[in-house]
Amino acid sequence: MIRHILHASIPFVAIGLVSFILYSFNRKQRVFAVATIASVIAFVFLSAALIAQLGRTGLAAAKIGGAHYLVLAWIVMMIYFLAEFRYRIRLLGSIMMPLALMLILIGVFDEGATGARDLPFTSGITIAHMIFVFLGFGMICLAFAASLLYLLKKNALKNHLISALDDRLPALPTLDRLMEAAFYAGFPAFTLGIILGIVHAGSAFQSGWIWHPTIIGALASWGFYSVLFFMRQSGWISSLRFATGIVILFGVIILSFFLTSHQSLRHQSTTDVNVPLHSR
Amino acid sequence: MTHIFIIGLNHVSAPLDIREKFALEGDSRLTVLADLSAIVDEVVFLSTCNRTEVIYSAAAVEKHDHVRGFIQRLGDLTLDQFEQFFYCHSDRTALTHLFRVAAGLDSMIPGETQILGQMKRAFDDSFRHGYTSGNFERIYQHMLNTAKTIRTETDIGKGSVSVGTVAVQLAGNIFGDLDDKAVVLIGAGEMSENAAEQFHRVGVGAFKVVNRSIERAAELAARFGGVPYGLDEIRTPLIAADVVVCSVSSQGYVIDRTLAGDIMEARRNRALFIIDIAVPRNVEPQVHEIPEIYVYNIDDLKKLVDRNLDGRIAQIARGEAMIADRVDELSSYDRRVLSGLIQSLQERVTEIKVKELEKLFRRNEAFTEDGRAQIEQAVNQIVNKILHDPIISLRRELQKRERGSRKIVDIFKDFFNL
Repeated sequence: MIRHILHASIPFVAIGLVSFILYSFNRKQRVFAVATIASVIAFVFLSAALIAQLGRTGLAAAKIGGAHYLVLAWIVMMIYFLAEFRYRIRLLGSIMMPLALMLILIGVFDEGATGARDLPFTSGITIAHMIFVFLGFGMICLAFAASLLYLLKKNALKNHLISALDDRLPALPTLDRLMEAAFYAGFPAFTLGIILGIVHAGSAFQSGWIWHPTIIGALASWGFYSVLFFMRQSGWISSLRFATGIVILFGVIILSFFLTSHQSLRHQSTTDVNVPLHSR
Repeated sequence: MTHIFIIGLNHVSAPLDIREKFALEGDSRLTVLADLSAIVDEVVFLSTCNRTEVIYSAAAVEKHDHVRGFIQRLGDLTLDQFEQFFYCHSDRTALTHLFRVAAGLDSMIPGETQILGQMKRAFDDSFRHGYTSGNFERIYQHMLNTAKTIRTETDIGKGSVSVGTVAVQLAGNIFGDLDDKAVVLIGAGEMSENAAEQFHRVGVGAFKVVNRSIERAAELAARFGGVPYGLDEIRTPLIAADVVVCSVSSQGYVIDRTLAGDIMEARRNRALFIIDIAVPRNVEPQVHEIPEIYVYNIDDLKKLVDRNLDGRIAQIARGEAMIADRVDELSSYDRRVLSGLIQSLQERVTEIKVKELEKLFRRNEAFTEDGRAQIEQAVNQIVNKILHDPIISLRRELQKRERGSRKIVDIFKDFFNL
């Protein structure tokens, strides 16, 4: 049943993905409408699948293969919808939604081998760790999208490009405010998520866990985030450098996230349920 | 048979000295309209600085010559001059031209909206004075709908096409809201004044005017509630500025890299937008290398205007395709009206014929079946022969005419009580 719901969402995910990418080039109202409708339908399917899975297995659902991608996609989409509702910056969708929709596809097709990639969600701490890290990541996605638009706009204005006059690319202060708000909002969630992750890792994993690439990657991301946070708070960096920093931070986190997903085998708890979502 | 005609001139067909002879305003425009209405059946008179057009319908072709003669006399033109500067369109091409003009496809700046307002006023004047009938009303509605559709479904009106508007738009993209921004005008000439007007219009309230002559600076500053400065005090207003408009006549740079670096430090790198419309330039090109300073000279602004204009020109073909569809729609509407008319006429005559034959056969029961059939056949032939010519004429209308005439329809309806 859940597998059917997820598979039913794939055409809408594909339409949304293509339309959002297309919209970034042609900026047609109709293309945006198609992209939005398709992704809202995909979001509804995804929500239904996650709720159904939660109803069936409770929080243990989190340890099912591909589920962490789906939860992450759900959070990114939710944050995009809220940001779009609040700021009406349509081009945010062209950056955030392809990412979210790609995560859905990875989550849906991450069958079979997924059991081996499950994170060891055996306690409330690991669940909370995942939720906070994902929330933080969702906000960083938004900050990244705003930063990218900021850099594009800035580049257009500095180089006298025609897109400097494109009113669908908002004014620099609007983008500046948005990237700053999203960046600040993501920091506490991400920090809490990292702390909870380390607490869990320290108690559950084998000795020498601190040197594992997953932990190093997570700490490096958080360290970079903290430095950027501090520099912005102190007014030491301009908006241009701040935007560039966010783009780099996003790259570091993505790298760390995929590293985490593929290196979790060594940390796996023996009590994990290695059953792919689709087989249920 | 009534035709629609347009006789006119515009910025392409005629030079300014000819155009200004026909650019009429107020009462003189209404007088010309009244005079034209005496010549033709329906008339609309459009007169702007770039375009004068007489849009009219007339059954007789010689009336077209009368209108030409009237226009020649109005502008004191010879026949050669008339033929050189005026264009004439009829029926389908006239409608196409009318829709093009209304949509701004025929304007000097494609996609401009002022012309639609002027056309609305011209049609309204004719409607108000009774110089047009329902026929022009339908064309008018089609024209408005077409112009609106083209505007919303194409990018014909997209992008600013004046240097001033582009500059204000760029400022908006750098600073967002301009209400609380400070504009510094370097130079107190006409260009500074125009720039100040543009920014004043979008809500900028704080102006500072820097000029060699402090008196002239004070004069301009007073107009916009600003503060005057001498050119030697330039550093102070620049530190507080958000937008700087340079248009002072100077052989050296008024803002060089050193000054710009110095003031940016004092401003804590707050963004600064410099519009350098002076020739020779007032701002050293290297100033633009400072990350938070955006320098646009007159060529940069013109380049953006040209790009927007090119974008609009590229949309003309799409607009024209939409116009062709709308003109077809209008013509097919006329065809539908005339087809319905023929059908109504045939039904009406058949009804009379059946009724009268029934009466005749009731009164004279002695008629044999054969006799009745012969009478019926004879009546049918008479009716068909009578109807033949008008129906053929109407059908010919369908084939020949590109646009129907409300008057013909009305006459037909009255004539046959349809």
